[in-house]
Amino acid sequence: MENRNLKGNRISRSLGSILILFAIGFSMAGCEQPFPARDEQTPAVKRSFLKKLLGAKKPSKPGLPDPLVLGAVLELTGPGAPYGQWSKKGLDLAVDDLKAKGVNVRLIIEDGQSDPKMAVAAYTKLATVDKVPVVITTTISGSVMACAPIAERNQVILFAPGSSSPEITKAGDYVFRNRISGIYETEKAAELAYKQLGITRMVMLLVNNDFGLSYGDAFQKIYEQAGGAIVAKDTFASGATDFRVQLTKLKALEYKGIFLVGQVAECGYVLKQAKELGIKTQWISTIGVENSKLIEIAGDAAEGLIYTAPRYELDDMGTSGFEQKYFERFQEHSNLYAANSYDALNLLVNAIRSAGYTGAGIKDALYKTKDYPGVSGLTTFDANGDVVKPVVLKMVKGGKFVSYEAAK
Amino acid sequence: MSQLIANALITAAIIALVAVGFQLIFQTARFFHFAHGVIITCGAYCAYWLTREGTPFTAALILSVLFCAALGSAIWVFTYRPLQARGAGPTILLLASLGSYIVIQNVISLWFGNDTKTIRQGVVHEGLEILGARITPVQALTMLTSAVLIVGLHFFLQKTRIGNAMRAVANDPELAMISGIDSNRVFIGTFAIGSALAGVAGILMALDIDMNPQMGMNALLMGVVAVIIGGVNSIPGVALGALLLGMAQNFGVWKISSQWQDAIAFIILLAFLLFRPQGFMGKKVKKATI
Repeated sequence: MENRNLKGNRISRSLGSILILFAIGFSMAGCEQPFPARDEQTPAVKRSFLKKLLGAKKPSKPGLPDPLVLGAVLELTGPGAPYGQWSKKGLDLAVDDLKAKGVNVRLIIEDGQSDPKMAVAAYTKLATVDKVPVVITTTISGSVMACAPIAERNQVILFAPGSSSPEITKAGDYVFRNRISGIYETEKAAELAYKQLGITRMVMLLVNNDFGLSYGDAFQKIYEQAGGAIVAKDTFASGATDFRVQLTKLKALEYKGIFLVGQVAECGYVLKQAKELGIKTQWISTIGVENSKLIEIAGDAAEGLIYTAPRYELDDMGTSGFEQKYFERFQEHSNLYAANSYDALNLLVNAIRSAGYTGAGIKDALYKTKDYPGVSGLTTFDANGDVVKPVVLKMVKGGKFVSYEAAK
Repeated sequence: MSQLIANALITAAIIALVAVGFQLIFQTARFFHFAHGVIITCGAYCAYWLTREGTPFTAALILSVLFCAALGSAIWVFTYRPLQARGAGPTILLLASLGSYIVIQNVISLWFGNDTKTIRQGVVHEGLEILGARITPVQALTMLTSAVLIVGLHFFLQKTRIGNAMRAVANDPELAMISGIDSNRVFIGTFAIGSALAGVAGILMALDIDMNPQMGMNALLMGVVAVIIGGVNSIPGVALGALLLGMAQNFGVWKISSQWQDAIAFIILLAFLLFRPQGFMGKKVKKATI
């Protein structure tokens, strides 16, 4: 027996050390994505590489090279995947439409895996190996912030059609986006909470990354200036599924509303588990929740959730026919992320046409853009490479995402 | 406060199920069976797939547990046993099990996709109020199932012939063989029972908070921590270890930010490794008696 215990003793020590090693390894690897997906358009990489070997020079004077090679780092997997996939659909449509107009665009698409580390690796590869002057990225604000210094250093435009963190405004000269800064969304949310709903005490529940924390900071500032009080602020990990601890902590507090910022699946679980725990309050969130996955996960627990959204009305888009084309091809309705991405590629091609295939030239041309009539509305860049577009309030009612004004 | 205790019990119930299954296999096979984590995931996805295909709910659950048992034994028969027959030590078996883990997890990712999947459908019900805490029926089922299975396993190992054979092989495989126990069959049985427990844990997790292909790894890590805290050779110890972990994770972050939950678990692990490596229930070894 003693012998056995000694064995057990040694074994649990070695078990423990193996365990700790793996815990560290897995947390470092993020253990998010087993598949570093490459896109089907990979041959473009080889071709551009071959060209380089043969010494072909890329034209730097105005005019469009053929093919026009551009890069993209999209969140095709991980918690940000829904947004990245929409973005890719928008870009696919734009590539086809441009081809019909005689512009042959080749997009080298890399998977950012919803992870800033992977996005940086992909961005660096596109900027230094493929030497593209433009990289389109999607939503993960942390990834955009991490890639911004590379964009500045290599004079490669970073165009983010879906990112909204207020931090990105000051990320650099080469960083552009045609999605509005989250500042405008949080302003609207704070105004809704304090003025329209008369909520004076709120709790914030935020995803622990650039997106959640920057929204939280901006909201707190505006809401407290208006006279409201933030009673508590708690965070959760990106990709988390169990929120009982956070929610149980909230149960002991006095408040009338919760400002929830996270990706769609996380928000879905928060709403579901809050209902199970008997928490009844006014939930306020952001455009990130507008995805059928929310209803799939939270079911009727999502009812009554109000969220802010950059204005995007399907019937307004009739003139451009974007919604129609999108629906025909993908059998789902278009949305802001797809429309912004579609516009982004068109804006960039216009800029390259007038200023040539260099990062610096495209940058200047983009700053000169005035009221570009895209499918997501009029686009004009300010001195920070940001745009201003209207924000609206929407809510979940009967399992659908509807206008708050009409539904309340 | 009662809600906190309820949360801790729910967490502990799942950890304990995973831990006991892992411990059973570890005790007998004496290596770190990493693929145990992916069997948890398999249980959840199998139940998901079967219910989507129209299998009645209860039948789907039973079939999934059986599938997990079969899968666990199959990993032993087709991976570990041939390796062991060629004289592979625990390190090689550990790598083989890590390999199995990665392969199976990627197959799941390929087949079902990487995003979260939901078994339950329709309305979300408010939890029932029990002694001031809100508990959903699924959570109550989780605690009950876990308790019944662990107590059942304990008595199975202590009181039945097969249980005794399993313990005999765990203690000394050669001696067990000499006394006429077919150790190969015992190994298959051990992997089957351990994996079935993992499957049950996976299904319960999926019913409560849904599934994704990575769910097994986190559950396994916590389970192994519970095994070390509780003592490698004792089922009641492991159950207590799981309870301690659940309590610490839920009470520990009451006043600090919730992101420290996992850190608390590993601090407890380190403390045990440093000061009481034999775990809760393990006996202290006296050098003189060896």
